[in-house]
Amino acid sequence: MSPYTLRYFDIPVRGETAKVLLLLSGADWKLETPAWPQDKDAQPVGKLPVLIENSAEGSDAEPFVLTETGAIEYYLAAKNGYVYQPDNITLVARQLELRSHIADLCSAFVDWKLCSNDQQPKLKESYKSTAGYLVRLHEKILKENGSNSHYFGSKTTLVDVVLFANIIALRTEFAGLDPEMSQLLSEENAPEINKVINAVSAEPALAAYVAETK
Amino acid sequence: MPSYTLRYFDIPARAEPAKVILLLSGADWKYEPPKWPQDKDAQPVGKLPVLIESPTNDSDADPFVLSETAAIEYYLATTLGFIYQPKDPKIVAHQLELRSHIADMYEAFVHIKYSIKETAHKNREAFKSTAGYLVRLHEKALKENGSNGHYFGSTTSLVDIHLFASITTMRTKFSDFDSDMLELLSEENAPEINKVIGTVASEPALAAYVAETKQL
Repeated sequence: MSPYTLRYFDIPVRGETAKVLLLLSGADWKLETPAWPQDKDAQPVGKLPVLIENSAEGSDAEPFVLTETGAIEYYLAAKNGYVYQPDNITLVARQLELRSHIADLCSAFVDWKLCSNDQQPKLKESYKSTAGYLVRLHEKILKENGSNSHYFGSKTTLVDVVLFANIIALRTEFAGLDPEMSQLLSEENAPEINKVINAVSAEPALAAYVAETK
Repeated sequence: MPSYTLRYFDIPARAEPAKVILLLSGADWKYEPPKWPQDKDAQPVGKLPVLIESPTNDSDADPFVLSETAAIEYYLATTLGFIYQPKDPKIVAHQLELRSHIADMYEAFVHIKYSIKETAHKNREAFKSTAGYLVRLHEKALKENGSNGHYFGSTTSLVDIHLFASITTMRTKFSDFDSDMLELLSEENAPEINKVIGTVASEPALAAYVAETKQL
C-alpha cells in the first residue's frame, strides 16, 4: 500500500500544492478520486482534499487522516523537508502567512468565477485588489531574498510550491476568460513571482506534471 | 520581553482568538483599531488583523509584522506556549486542521448574516452542513481525549481557545440573529464542545473578557 493517499477531485485547484509536494518528495503516493456526492459523508468533515498517511506494512497503527488544505500542505512540507528553518517560529509563521495570501487569491478567483452576473463587478474588483496587494508585498520579499527565484534560502520550499501550483491552476482556469484579470500576474507586472514559477517548473521531479498542465 | 500590538477593527470578530491567546499569556499587548479605509494601504496586504511584535527596549531590531489570522494564531500560540507538542508535525498539523474547521464554520455563519435575499437559503444550508460535520468530528475527538474539556492534553491550547473565542463571538455579537443556526451548537447537540467553552471561560486571566462578552 502506498504510504500516502491524496483524496481529491481530478481537477487542478485546491489539491494541487499537496500533489506537487508529493511529487517533489519522491514519496510513494496515489491520487484517489471519490464518487461525489456519494462519498461526501465518508469524509471527516464532508470536504476534500483529504490526506491519508497509511501505516507501515505489518503495523497495527491506524492511518493518519488529515483534512484542510493548509494543514495538509504544512504536514507534507514539514515531513519532507520543505519548511524553511522549521525550528524558527518566526520564519514558519511567515511561510504560513505567505501561503495564506496565495490561497486567498485563489479563493477570490473562485468566488468571481462562480458568482451571479450582478455580483461580477464587485468580485472582480475584490480579486484585483487582492492580487494587487499580493504582488506588491511578494515582489518586495522576493527581491529581499536576493531575486534568486525563491522566497526563502536558495532551494524550493513550501511557499515556492504553493505559488507555482496555484498560479498554474489559475492560469489553466483563466484561459480565455478575462485578459485584464490574467494580466495582473504577468511577467511584466510580477517579474519575481514569475521567476519562482519558472524555477519550480524546472524541477526534474515535476517534468511530467508540467508537461501535463501545458 | 517583546510587546505586541494587535491591529483590528473595534468589534469582536476575526481577531478574537488572537486576543484571547494574548490575554491568557499575560503578555504586554495593546489593541489598535485603525482608521478605515485610510489605513488600508499601510497594511501588508490591505487587510486586518495584523500583529506587530515590537522588540525589547534595548534592541535595534525592526518590529516583526505578520498578517493572516491563521499565521498570527500559530505564531502567538507557539511563542507563548499554547501549541500542544510543538515539535511533532503530525500533532501540529492536526491542531491547524481542527482550528481551520472552526474558522470555516465561523465564516459560514458570517456569510448568512451578510447574505442578500437570493443567497440566504443557500448560505443557511451551507452553515448547517459545515456545523453538522464539525460537531460530528469534534465531539468524537474530544471524547477520545478523555472528555476533559480540552482538545489535546489537559491544559488550554490553541484549538480550545479558537473554539471558545469563535463561538462566544457568534453567540454574543449575533445573538439577535439566527437562534436556529446557533441551536446546532447547543449543549444538547454538542456537549463536549460546550465543555471546552466552559473550561476556557473559567480561566482566571479571562474573567474580565468573559464579563464583557456577557454585556454585548
